[in-house]
Amino acid sequence: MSNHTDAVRARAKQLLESGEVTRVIGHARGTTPYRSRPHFASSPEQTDALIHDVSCGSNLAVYVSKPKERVAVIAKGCDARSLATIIHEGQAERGNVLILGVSCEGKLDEGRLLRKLDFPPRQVKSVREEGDEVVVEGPAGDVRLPRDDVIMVNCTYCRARTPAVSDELIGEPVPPREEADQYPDLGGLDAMSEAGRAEFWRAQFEKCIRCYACRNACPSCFCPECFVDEYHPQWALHGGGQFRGNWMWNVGRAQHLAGRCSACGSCQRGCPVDIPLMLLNRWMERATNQAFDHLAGMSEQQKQLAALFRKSEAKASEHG
Amino acid sequence: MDRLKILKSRLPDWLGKLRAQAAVYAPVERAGVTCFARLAPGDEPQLDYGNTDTPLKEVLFPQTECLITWQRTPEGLQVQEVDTSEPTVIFGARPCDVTGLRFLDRAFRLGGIEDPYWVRRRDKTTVISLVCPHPVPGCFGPSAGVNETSPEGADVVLTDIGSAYVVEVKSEQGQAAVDLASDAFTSAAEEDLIAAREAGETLLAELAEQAIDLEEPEARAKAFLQSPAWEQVWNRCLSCGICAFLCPTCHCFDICDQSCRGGGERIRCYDTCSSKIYTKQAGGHNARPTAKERLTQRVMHKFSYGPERLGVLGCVGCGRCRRCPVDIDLQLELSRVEVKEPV
Amino acid sequence: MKNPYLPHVAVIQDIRDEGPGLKSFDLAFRDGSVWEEFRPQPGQFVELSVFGEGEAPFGVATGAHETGLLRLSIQQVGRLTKMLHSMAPGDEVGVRGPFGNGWPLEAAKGKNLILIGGGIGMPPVRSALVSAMAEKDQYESISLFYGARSPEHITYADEIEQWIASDDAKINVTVDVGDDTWPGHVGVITTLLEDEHASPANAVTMTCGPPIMIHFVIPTLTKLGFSDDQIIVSLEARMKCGIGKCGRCNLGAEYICLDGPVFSYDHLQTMGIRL
Repeated sequence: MSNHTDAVRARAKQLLESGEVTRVIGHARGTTPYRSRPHFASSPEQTDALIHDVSCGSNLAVYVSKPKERVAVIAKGCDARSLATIIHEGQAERGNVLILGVSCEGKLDEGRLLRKLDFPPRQVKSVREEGDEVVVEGPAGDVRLPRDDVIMVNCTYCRARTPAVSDELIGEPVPPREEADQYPDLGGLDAMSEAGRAEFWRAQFEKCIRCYACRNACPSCFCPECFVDEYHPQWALHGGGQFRGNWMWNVGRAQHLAGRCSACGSCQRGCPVDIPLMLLNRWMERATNQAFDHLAGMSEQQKQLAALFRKSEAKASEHG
Repeated sequence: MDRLKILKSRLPDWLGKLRAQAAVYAPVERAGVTCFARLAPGDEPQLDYGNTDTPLKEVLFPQTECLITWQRTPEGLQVQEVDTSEPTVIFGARPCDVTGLRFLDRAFRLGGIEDPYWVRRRDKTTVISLVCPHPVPGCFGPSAGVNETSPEGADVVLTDIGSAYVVEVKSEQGQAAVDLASDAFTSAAEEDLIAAREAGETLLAELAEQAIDLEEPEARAKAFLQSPAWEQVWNRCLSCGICAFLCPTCHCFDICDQSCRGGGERIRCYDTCSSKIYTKQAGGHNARPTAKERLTQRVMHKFSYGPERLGVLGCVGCGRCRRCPVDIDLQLELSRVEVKEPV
Repeated sequence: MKNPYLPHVAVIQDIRDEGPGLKSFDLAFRDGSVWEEFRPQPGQFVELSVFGEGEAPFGVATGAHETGLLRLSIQQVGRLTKMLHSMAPGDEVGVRGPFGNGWPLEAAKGKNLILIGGGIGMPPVRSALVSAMAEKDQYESISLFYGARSPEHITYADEIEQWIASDDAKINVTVDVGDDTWPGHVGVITTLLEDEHASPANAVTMTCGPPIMIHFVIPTLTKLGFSDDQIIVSLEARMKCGIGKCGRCNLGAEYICLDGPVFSYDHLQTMGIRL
């Protein structure tokens, strides 16, 4: 169970009252019972709106950008991985970020949830977790759904259900999913021929409207000038609805995230045309994990993948 | 004018005749997403859809389009304009999207200066609208002034009555489209008209449950920007382009060059006032440096500047902007704000 | 249908250094007949194409009576202007326009015309100045207040000498930072306006310069007694289309490219715009 609302509120209030932090970045209830929204509490009163339940999926590390004063961030395991990564990459002083870790068994995928319901979304009265189920209160009473059927697919193979990096932990530790190292989500792509995969991604990338929600929702995409906005050279053709530029953009971004992605799924959750971006990111993660035994943000001491170099790799490259 | 009807089984005949005369754009599913795309021979439009994920505007105002080409030659630069407009039929568009064209029509003709790329396409386009059989979740079209049963800007309106559509012809262009396949249409009987009217009434009654209050939009916009909710809203905005690119009325664009081998193309593509670099000048000055200024621009353009300049609201209630990754719902925020009486 | 996005090809006739990083380009349309319909009015701007780099807006420096050559004075600040600065006479560029409303010179006739320019805001001010001087009898008086960063940053230095010599207008120049060679006024433009006692009597001011300069000039003029409708400013913004479609320069319900770039300050006040 991951409703930590009371604990999050209480701790946030203490932190602001004592002046330990100037701001707590958390979630509040969104426009529907199955949605949350980022919420910024700068006063004890503003902590009353904080919640933390199965709807709180968005990665709040995206709001941590070189804070001048200490801020607290409510961090699921993936958010904590992002924070560790961007702190290592110089986007925040470690002392200026209080990582309030929360244990997590997966967060809702709105699309998956709504497709399971046979009534209009506006008739959802509440959503809660019970055991391994998500319970939706609808017009004709409770609808009980297995949690794994309605959470983000990437949550079903999470290796950081308990944050690996945090200053405090809210909730009981939860062990990582056993499937985490096996990449079952990539089975479909693995089964395709190279040409089949190319066709699959062509169809997906053709949809891209270049809104850059994936980038802007991603804590690791903090470049002041993104490669896609550069002109010299013009790495990717501008504008949505055309394959070449869209391919360059999506593949280029995935490459820049190799060894830096925390698998939070914010890019995919944000995508308005449902491109399965986590398949790309997981593909890159598997490659970097298997080749270099590297996973982003799993410890504070961890170096960035691109900064790792072992003598054995020099030999490997000699052999091409 | 006599009301007509067309059996659903005769629809392919009509579409075939239309396609012989024009490029027909209709809702289709592409890799899990519904959008308007050009029907190829044999393609069936997907008419039992809620609303398309991407808006109708992209048919007339593509996400990316080439404006001009240039070529370096021994005689000097040769610059040519590009015109890809052709006779077009939009088939099965929802009333909200059709109403959105009105805002764009006015914007692209603002100041008496016609945007040729829009105008040439628009003038060659016949719009056949399809009334929603059920309310699309999140739709508040009537609150935004959309006529859900006979939208302004449509040439023909179809209302589903089960095995057939009742057909309202609203213009000469619409009549011409119907005349192309006149044997596919029959006169609508009294009971058909009653069925269509009842379908419309049921729809409106159901939509009323999703209504929000957008009266006095300008006052609401200003009050919202002064309200306590506003600070949370702009603080969480990610500055992405979802709300603008999915909006049936947003028309901001970027223009840029793409060179290749002694020549190149000048394209325009969607751009958004939310973008951090939208107003950044070459020297580094940025008139809207934070999400606060940028989102202010969005709120004011939709609900104040747009209505003032173009005479219509910059929102048609389609609800697509609710795809916002951080749950920013400006319309809902505006509807909830307390509008103070003018002093 | 006339296509406002289609540039006319123009050939660079002459390039002159105007100071550090600043060059003036004289352009002639390859098809000479274009000029008749083009005829930029003082205060209007054009979209200049460097093909392969894109377009950018520039205020026209040419006066109303100067025909045939389009003069643009351009600071190197970004990639397009960098490419432009590397070009030579004979090279081809593209020009669209002219766009915008221009200075209200007609309404200023019979009055004391006060032109205020700063930094790279000088081209449109030059256009107004030489246009007015060509019809100087129509004005009660013409004066220029010009502020440059340093003596070497003074744009149109040679012409300024001629203007001073001609006595057609009262020319006041200041530099933010002087040097040994500079005998004139030192201080920012607002000090020049105060020291020269710019007077609001039967006057109208027209100002073009960077946003920070306009921000300080307006309160200075107000302090000197100018009313809001005597303060005319030309605004800059990032622009792409030049015809009020692309949205970038939206200011209230207006567009700087279409309804401006020239606005009276009292109008901006009614729009709720602060500069």
